[in-house]
Amino acid sequence: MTGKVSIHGLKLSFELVLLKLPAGGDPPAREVLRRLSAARINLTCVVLDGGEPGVAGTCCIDAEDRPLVERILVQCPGVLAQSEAVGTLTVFPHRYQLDLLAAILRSLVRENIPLAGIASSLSALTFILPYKQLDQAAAAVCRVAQLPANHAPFRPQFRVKQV
Amino acid sequence: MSDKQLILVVDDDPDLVEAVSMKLESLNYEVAKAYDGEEAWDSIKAQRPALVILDVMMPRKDGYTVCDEMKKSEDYKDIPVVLLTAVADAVTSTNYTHLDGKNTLADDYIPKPIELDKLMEIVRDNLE
Repeated sequence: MTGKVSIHGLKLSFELVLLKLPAGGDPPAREVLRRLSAARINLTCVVLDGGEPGVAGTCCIDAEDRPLVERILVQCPGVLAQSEAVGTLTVFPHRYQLDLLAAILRSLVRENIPLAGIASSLSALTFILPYKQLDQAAAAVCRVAQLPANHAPFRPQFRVKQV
Repeated sequence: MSDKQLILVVDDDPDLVEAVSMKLESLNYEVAKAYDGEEAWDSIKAQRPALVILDVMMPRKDGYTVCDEMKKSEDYKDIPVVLLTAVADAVTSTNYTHLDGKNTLADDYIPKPIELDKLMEIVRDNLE
């Protein structure tokens, strides 16, 4: 590829905890997510894989919610809260350009940055990555994607929580 | 030149910008997009939209500041501003509280999560 793909923004998350929800778990992944949301835990990113023996999922929560989530997970055997912190890197807008996704994946692989998950939405592509490598990942993305002038990857300045 | 009215949609949530834009375009409006307050100002100066839909909590420059600057500017004070106000009952780590648009110079406001049809009604009313 010669030119960079044009994007408008690159957002990095706070420190997050990755939850692995196994297929065929008891309670099922859907019920685990319901319990977390009932406890007003922000689900920053949810990736679900449908199939047999059921739906498996990957879910990110704020690191500051870990103690509460671990109390909920006592009743959810099989759900694993990963100890290594993760973060999300969100690129927008994707404008349905598959070459942007391919270029970012190639760039992350070149940097040996492991990928825990990918999600797409109406406008954005979100990559779940080790938190300690988020800045490195942002630099890797900026090698293949062009932000507007005077723009840099940014982190949120506040958290929104239900009380 | 297009005779469609130009609406500027400003929010740091790209999915919200896209969803609102798609709805506006389906109603035959032209749409410009910005993802923070600084970009919003650049777009207002460059394109002079007919109306601005403006989020409150954004990086670089928040929506209250942009609204305040617009309404105090001779050149832009006539452009209607619709604020998208606080998303939850409490917001930690900031000076944002559960303020609503009544306390600002905005022409109208709608609380998040927004109802798109209600927002379109507000846009129509403020363009009349």
